[in-house]
Amino acid sequence: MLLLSATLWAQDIRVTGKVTDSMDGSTLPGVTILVKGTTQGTITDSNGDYSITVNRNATLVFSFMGMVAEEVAVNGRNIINVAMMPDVEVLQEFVVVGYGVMQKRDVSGSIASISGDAIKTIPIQSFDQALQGKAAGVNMTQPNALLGNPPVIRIRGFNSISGSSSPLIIVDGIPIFTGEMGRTSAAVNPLADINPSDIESIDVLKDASATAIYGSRAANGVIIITTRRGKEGDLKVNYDVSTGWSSPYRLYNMANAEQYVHIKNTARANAGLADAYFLAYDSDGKLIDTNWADYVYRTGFQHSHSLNISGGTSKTSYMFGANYSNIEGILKTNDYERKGARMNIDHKATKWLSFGANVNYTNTFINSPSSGSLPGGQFHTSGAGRLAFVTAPNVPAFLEDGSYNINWDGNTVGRLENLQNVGFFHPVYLQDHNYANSQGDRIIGTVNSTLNLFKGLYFRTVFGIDYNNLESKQFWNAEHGDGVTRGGDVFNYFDRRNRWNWTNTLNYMFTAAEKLNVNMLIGSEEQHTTWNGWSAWRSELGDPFYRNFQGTWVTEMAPPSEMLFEDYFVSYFGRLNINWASKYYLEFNGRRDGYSGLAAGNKFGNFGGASIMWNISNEGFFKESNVADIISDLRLKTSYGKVGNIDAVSAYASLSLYSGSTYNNESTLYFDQAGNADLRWETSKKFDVGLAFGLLRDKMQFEIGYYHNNIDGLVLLVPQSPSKGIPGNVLPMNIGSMFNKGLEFSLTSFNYATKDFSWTTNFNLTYLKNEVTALTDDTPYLTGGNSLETSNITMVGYPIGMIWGVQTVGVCPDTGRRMFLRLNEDGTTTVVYYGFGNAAAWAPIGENLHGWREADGTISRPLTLDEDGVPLGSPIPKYYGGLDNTFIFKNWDLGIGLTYAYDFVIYNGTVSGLRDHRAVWNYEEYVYNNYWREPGQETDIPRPVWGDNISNGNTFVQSQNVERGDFLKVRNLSLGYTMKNELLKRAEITSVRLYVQVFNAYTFTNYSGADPEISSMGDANLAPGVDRNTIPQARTIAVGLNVSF
Amino acid sequence: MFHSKNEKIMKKLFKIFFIITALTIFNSCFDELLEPVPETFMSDLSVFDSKERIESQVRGIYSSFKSGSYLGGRFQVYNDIRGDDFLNLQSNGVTGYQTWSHNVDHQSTEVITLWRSIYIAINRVNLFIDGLEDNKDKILTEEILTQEEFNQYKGESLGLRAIAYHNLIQLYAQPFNKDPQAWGAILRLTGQRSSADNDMARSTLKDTYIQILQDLDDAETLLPTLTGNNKAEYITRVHKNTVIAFKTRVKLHMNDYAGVIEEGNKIVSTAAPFSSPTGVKLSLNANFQQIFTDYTTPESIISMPMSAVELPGTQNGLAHYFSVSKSGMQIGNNEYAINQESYLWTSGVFADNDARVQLVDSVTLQGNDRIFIKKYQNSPHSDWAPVMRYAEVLLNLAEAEARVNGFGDASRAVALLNAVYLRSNPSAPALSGFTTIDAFITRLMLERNMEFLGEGLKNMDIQRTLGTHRAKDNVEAVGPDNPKYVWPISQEEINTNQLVQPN
Repeated sequence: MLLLSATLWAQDIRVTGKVTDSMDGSTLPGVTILVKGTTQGTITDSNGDYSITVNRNATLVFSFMGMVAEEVAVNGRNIINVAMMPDVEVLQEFVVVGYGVMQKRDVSGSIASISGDAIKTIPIQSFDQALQGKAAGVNMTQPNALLGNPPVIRIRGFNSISGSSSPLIIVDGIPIFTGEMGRTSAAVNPLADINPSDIESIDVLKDASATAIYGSRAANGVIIITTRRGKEGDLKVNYDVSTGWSSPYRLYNMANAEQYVHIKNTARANAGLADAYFLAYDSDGKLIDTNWADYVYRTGFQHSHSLNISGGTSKTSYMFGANYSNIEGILKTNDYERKGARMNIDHKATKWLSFGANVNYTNTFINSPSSGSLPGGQFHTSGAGRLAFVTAPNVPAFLEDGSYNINWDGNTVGRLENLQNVGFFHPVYLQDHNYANSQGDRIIGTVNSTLNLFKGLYFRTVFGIDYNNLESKQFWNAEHGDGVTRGGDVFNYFDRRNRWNWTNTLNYMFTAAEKLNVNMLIGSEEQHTTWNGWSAWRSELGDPFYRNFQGTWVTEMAPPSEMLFEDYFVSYFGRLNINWASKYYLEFNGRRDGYSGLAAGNKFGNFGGASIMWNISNEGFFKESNVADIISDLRLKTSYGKVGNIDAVSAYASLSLYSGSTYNNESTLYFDQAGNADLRWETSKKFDVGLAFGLLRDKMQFEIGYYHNNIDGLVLLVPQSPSKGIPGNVLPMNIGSMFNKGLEFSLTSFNYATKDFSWTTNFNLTYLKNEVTALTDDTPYLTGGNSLETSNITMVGYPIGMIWGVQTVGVCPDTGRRMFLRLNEDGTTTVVYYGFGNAAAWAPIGENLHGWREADGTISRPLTLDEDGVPLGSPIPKYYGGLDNTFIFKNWDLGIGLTYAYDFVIYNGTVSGLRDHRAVWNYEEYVYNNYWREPGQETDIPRPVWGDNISNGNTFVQSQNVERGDFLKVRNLSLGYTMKNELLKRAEITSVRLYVQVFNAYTFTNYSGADPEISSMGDANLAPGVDRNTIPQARTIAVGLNVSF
Repeated sequence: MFHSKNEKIMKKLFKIFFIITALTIFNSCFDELLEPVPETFMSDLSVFDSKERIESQVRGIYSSFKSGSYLGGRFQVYNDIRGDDFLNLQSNGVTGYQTWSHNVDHQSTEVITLWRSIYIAINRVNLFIDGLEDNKDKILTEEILTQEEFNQYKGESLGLRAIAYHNLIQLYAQPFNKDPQAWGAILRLTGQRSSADNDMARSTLKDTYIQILQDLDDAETLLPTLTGNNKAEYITRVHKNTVIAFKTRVKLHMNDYAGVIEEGNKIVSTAAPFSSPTGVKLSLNANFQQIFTDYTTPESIISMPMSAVELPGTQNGLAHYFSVSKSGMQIGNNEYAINQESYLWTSGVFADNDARVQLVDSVTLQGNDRIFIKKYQNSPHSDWAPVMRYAEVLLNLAEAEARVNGFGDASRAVALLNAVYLRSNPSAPALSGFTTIDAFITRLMLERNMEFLGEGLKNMDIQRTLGTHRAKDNVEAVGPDNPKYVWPISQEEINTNQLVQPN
């Protein structure tokens, strides 16, 4: 019988093989394999393997959702492995929307999605650093290379003045803490607690339609992070490791010892003073020429590891992960360490009930010297960024006996034979002997349950917590630096931030009359946050031996900072999506929010939005027309809505409050806060119109959008007459308005895709125009900057945070004095000249040259920022975006990520300091090469005069230090090799990828400062675009390995 | 079959019912979270609920006066450095360089900050007085305070308000003696806590003085008569004798000599040794230096108490300005050294063994010999900041007596002057033989100058006599007709108050 059949079916053979995804080599379970022209077939198993007995001349058809069907003739072969190509047209991408997931094509709002895979190998501390250039409308600036420095994220511009303009960030359903959380010079970015490798996707919600469901917290846009989950299938292990090296990028070229001594003494001679600076030599007769940056900075080594285990059955899926990162910053003793663990689990208990949980625990430790690189720290005399370039090159860091070169009595860097101070504190001593650190424990976790009540109706509840304990410590030694005046100081801070968030939603989906698809969602949400922060301060060390709070200290000081507050949101929201035959889409969103910080009777606000979309490509007439061969997708959409921003309203802003301290050791109580019971939400009315189209089976996908966002009721701190004696002399009131409008363009193009070679391109471009349209009546403008330097102005009719300074028109070739433009009362300008110093200092050049002078030598009134300052340009880029190209050739992959920004200015305050002629400042080498030496010389550096801190802009902002910041950055560059061979297969290793990454590879810019991407004032709305004494950016080169099995 | 289908539907309905119930209960549970009560701040509605809170409020008012940017240091510093007694060594705009060189404008930090600080204190007084009156029935019927306590706290507040307004017009208005009809203070007499009432005009100096005296008289009436020796709890609070003492200063500024004598006689005995016949015992302290180390001698009428945990703040403490920083003694910041070319220092009136001449530190700085006063010696700057001493009352009275009752050798005026002078130099012969009132006043003014160096009286003494701030270093003299004679009004006030008159 067996023989017989063998003869009878001699033409039949058994074919086995494996089906894989040609893009990443992963196996494809569930691929349907049919014998062409029959109904005979099979499917691949969970390993992508199949087996089928067919006629040796048959043709097999492999088909799988999202892949191009492949026909393969058997031709008598027993083994047929197939690598399937993704079908970009039918690939139904999903995007995350508020409280749900939708097919990308059904989304009528404006949402940009970034895949976790696109960022996981970039050598960054935190995922936010990878957002730059990745999505239209999203502008991310890393303020500088200080580890833990939180990003400046702006989605479609600035949306607040007094509050935050940063988006709401939601991780697996819970809005998490954001912003700088550190209390010392060690910065703490709470976003860095999310391991970038754990992220499945990042979805950026931009317009009112997409964001309105978040109501009062939606004005700045919403970023939703979804972490990776297990998938049904065998246990899968993923291990990512990378090691890298960071070094400071684009440091200033400083004057060397000879140049320094020359300029200083020239400046003194010009002021009629004797030389005070002298070259020094070591005992071998070698000139002492110190580049302090060599001591302050380093090449930092970093390594990170991430291990994930995932898998699942038809009922339960899981993902466990552990990660470890250890990063050395470019600044010595700036270190970051993160240990994390994650568990995501999903379980279907019954047909109608499922549960899930995500739990992420992170422990971080950050150490940093005082760097002057956080907002407000720019002028600290201990800021390492500043000390690295102001300290004189003609003194050594260490004396020949190995000791620090410090003038202990004067508490400054030792000056050797120089007669004047040559620096502030000794940066290396501070790095070696002081510390500031923060250690955080963070749990972000959610549990959820979904009930399928009946067909199409789901109830879902999600309870989440974001719990963070942060202990910060700062120690200042008693010998040198900030601690000397009190004989040493130690500060300890503890902050417990505790948030819970409970969301309940009912979701009902049904299809009626075959074509009407309806999706309804209603829900409620509550969020409660407490912040309990306390601190302690002790001074006067009992003995230099002690370095901790618990050591022996003589004096107990008043606690430097205390926090205790809570706030609460209660919200009700709903959404209705209707589409008819996937052609006509209608969406309504609404949310009612109550916030505890507002006064009784004023607590609730209503927000909402609506959108319509027409999917033209699903119209019969379109499908039948010839255009459909080229245009595979064509959708027109528009939305309008009103959302809010509550960030400017503090937890107790509506209340009039008393607080106290002590008077002669007894308690006091005094009026401390005048509340405003009329305070309400800032509102943002967003209008959007967009066009999405795909060409050539969606090989090229375009999105073009116009947005207009009107913000009203901006909370401003309205000045009160100081004679009223209201604490702070301001009251928060809803009084300002502003708009952002612009265009966005994005393109995803699968330029070329064959089995061996593929090339994809992502491009995006944003045009943004921001303008303030109303401020308070009494204050025509608001200013921004550091407490010691006003650098920005915000005025009606201009973009927020314009750089503000006095105009200069070069250096007078005849006299070497800076020429300024004085603003006259009639609005005209007059050129006036400034010569620092007394008459004697200028006698060699001519009479009547000192001080502020008219062209004819008569005395002019002194110029000031208030009287003569003008807006010198907007620091908000008008155009920005990114261009990513990925090439895959056989086993090799190459990625080039570019970002760019165009049409904006930066105030280079750092350079104004490096041209100051007071005792304690080194110069840029540029000053040496270009300072005015003789009449007739054309230059932009005035005649040096000892003590001159005005001519070069170190007392008020001057236009010569305001520069265009246009740049094109090679943000990341990666080259990878994916190993695929039999050996690995036998070892059951699915894939091995080895790569090299360069982050911040190269910057094309005419900006003369350290980096055009900088924000010394961090996230401040009113002071963007300031480059002042901070450390530069880092360039990181990393090699890494991803292994899956 | 029929039965089980029904059961299924019932089960589902039950589930829905369960969820809706759960949601409803949940939401109602947390309603109180929408009305959070701050736990570290007190609502303005509850601050008159207990005696302890009311007393804490009184001390809160004092702490506003004690602020380093007001009487904790800077007020005295600005009044001292306008004169010619000190040299500025640091050229630091943050530590009074513009004030010293008579170059302040509307936007100068000191002009803006002192204005703010004084008015913050005034508003806290006003809010407290309003609150006392608004809650009077409750406070008295519920016996939260006795009538006497009620009166005392109100009296202290009124006394403090008078001090604040008088301080304010020392720098921000012309002297009363120049023109009583010139603009004085913006008289805010009710508590402010809303965005209303930004606009308010200044009162004339005459009206300002009427209000100051009214407050002082009311305070004198309301305050209880304390007795016994002077002590910390008297020096750090306003009592009846404080108010009277302050009236001698106010009336002297008005050239109301009879008034000065009337007030002075309440707290100064007719003949030496001078002390207060009633109320808290006040007298000169035999040891001059001890006044600045002990802080609680019989001489201190009112001072702002400080300690290691109650400091005036960075760059506010008197020691920061006036004390030396040298090897082994880093007290101050070498900001203001004694001007050895000053009228006082070159007068030759004071002998080397005078306790006040001896209370200095000498140091060589960058090749120059410098002298610093040595009244404030603590690091950190926990020296109590003097506001008024008994010596001033004696000299105020001496001046008035001389003008009214003469300055003969046996006069009370000369006896009062000698009491202060000889205390610091007991071996010197007593002053005598004044032939003209001008000679007496000139000597008296030098005595005041020497006695109160670094205690904030210099500017007041110059301006109430329409004197000239003498030239010093490279700074030119500023006389009563010079627009720089008084400070301008704060730019912040000008920006927000449409009715404020400039100086």
